[in-house]
Amino acid sequence: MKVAVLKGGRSLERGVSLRSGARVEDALERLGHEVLPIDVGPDLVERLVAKQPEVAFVAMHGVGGEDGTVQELLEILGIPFTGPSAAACARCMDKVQAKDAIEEAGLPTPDWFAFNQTAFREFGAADALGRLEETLGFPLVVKPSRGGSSLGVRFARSAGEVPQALVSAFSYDDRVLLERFVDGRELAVSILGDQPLPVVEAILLEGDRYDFEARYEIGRTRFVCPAELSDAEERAVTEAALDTYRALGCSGFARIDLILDEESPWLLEANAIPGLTDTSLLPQAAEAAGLSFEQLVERILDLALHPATA
Amino acid sequence: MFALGAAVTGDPQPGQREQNDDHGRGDEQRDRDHDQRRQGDDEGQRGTAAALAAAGAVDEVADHDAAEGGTDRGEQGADDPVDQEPGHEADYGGENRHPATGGSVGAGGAGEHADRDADAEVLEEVHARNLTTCDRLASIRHTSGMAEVPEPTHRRRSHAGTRDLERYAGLFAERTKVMRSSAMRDLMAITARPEVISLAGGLPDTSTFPPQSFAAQMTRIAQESAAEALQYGPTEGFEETKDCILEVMGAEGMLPDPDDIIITTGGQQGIDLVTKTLVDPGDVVICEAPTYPGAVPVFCSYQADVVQVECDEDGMDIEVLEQLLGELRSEGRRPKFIYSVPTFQNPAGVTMSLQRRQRLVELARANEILVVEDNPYGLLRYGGEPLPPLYQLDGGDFVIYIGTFSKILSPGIRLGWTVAPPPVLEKIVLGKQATDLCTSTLTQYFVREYFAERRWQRYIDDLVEIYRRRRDVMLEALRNNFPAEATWTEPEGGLFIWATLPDYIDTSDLLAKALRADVAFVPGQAAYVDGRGRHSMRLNFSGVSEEEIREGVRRIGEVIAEQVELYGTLTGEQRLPEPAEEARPNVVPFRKAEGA
Repeated sequence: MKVAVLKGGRSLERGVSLRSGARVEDALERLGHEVLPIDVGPDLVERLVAKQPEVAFVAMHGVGGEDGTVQELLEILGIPFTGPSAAACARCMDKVQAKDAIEEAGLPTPDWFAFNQTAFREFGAADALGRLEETLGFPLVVKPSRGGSSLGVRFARSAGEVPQALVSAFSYDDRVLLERFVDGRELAVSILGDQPLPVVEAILLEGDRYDFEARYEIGRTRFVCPAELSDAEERAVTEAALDTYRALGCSGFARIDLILDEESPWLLEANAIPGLTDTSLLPQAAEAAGLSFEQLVERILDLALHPATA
Repeated sequence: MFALGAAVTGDPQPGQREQNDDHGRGDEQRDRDHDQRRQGDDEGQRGTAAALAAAGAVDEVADHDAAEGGTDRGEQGADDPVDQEPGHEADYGGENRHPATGGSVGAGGAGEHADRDADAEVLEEVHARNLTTCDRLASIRHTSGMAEVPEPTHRRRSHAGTRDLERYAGLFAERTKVMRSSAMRDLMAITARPEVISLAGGLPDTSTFPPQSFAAQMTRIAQESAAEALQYGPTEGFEETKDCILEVMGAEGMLPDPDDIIITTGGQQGIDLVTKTLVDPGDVVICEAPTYPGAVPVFCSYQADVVQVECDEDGMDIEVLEQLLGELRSEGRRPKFIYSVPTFQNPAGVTMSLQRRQRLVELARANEILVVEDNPYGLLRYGGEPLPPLYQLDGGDFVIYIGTFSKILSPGIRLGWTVAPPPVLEKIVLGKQATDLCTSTLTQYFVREYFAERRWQRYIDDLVEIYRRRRDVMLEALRNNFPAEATWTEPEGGLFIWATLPDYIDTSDLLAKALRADVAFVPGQAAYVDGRGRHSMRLNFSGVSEEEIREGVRRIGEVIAEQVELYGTLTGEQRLPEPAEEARPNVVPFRKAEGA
């Protein structure tokens, strides 16, 4: 089959995307497919029209590739593609939208407030900060609404740290959210089709626990898959993740990140196109479920071509 | 077209290599096997390099050159803007960026293939199939029917059987733990996009080197000494090349014994070999704060305990150093060496005062501690009076000197040198043997030919003229575009200006914003081992045109102004984003890093 692999682009996560894409290309070649690698740029549509791939494997992360933009184009061109629909991607990419949807579905997500820059620049939103800090308590987490990896995510341990954290977060997006910090186990549930894969736990080994950069780094964080959970915990976690997946309208695959404390799983966000590199969590989870990377890739393609089989 | 040429012709063909190699002897065989392994491995290495870059680290990863080339690789190469060499080579910004064109160049070198018919065929195919640079063609060898070697099925390292990296983690040596921040790595990766004005590099402008001169020298080598130039050479380097080094060092007042010199693969290898020779895990290495970003991964990879001593406008603060030495002594620890770029420092651009130089040398002698003087830029002076190098003040007993041709001739030839006291040099030579046997014979011959033309100093004069103008343009642009609260250094030479912003601006985040405006710099964090430097940035003015400098600084000024304004709104303090030029007191040359 002729498969276009869409990767790269201009997002801040270009590097990860190229690694994901390269790995997918290798797997597709080994599976006997004809691979058309595309580093996404201004000639994307022209190339897709010229080459007529039967399906597109979207291995892009961040703005442009994971937010529904590319997916919308593919929908217009009538090329089936892997991963969630354009609408679902857009919802997942925007943490504020995603949290709205999660809350509407009655699922637990840490309390939050969202602001755009205009609110601060034109409407004096700074005056409201004190009140919401009281509501959320410290430490709180400041995140760009649309941003990947840990870019621009900051803890604020006191009111004095909030403005600086906001300046950082606003460097990545015009909208940011302030979120209550939930102290608990950090879990990721990847879902393939409609099947949850074994849960991955990220355990910070060293350094400042408020340092987001340490997360997802080999050597500083250990990943355990399957996570050691009681049956009840596992059920609660995977059900919450599946409900989130559905609430956001995902299909194909996605990865749901959440925190588990004594009370419940707290849903943080969904990644519509989780990384597929050597170190990424989705492939790890698939492997724990007995799927090789090739099998994972083949399955993802199947889901794109035959959504009904999900 | 250019990149495509590189892709099609430049990609090394493992099969071809093997075929040409039936006469292997011991050494050569080993060498070759090693090369092949490298080739298969370069993806992995690049990863590491990039991680180092991320760590803030890099400027460099020695010998990285081989890694880029070809399309599939080229793409990845473009991502990992690793570079360089101390002070030395390119920094973030990347080897893929051609300083002259600003364009992305597939390394491999386009058009080196001589087979015209094959080239024509490829071009035809390209037109016929409407291919772009990302498409792969069959190799030249294949289209031209040159050899009967079976086409390898995968050029890229096969991932078959590759498990998640986590599974290898148990095998990694402790020293690989220098890997940090993958997020920042990816950010730096984007600076290599061709549309980005990168003030992040550390590149000299090699477009100023006359191609005719290069051609004449290489032709002479081919005609007169092809066999020798293609052969291994002595580990210490050729005497004739050392004569050139003596001339360069003589121009700064140094007269070393040629027997104390070893020629290295760039100055970066000098740092590596010195550290390899002197440092056991846990040993203290002292360096400046901020320090050359490319030195940090070297020290860390030998598991040194890196301690940084604050700099001000006169270089490393020697009083603080003395205090530190006292503290270490009371703990029963003796630092192995003090690493310094005393002249036009990378990244700060500052120069150590004469008084401090003298004091540093006294301290080294009194405490019997080695000083490693890294001096890539000494001859690139645009103002002020030259100061004696530490090596000259000390006479070479306790100062190890590292020099390079990278900034005064070419970083591409990978030629540097280290001057050390004989017992130290002896160990360094053994270390070099283990690392790569000898420095490139071909490029040593090139330097010899180049120096024979007797115009090397004139070439440096030309560079000095060009860089002085670029520095001035950058300083003016900073005055016109940076906020009143910002400070920066005014270097008398070298390649870099170090700017420090208000402490609520994190320059890593600022970089993300700047990249949206297609401009890049090195976040200051890269020059510290402990996460400091978050409010500073390194700006390069040597590898970009005056126009690009103006535009690049203007764009950075714009994103800073937005952040200044936003912060003012958030805190209720209205700060003026406009640069108040008249109101500005004399530019503060250097502000100590936060916390100092």
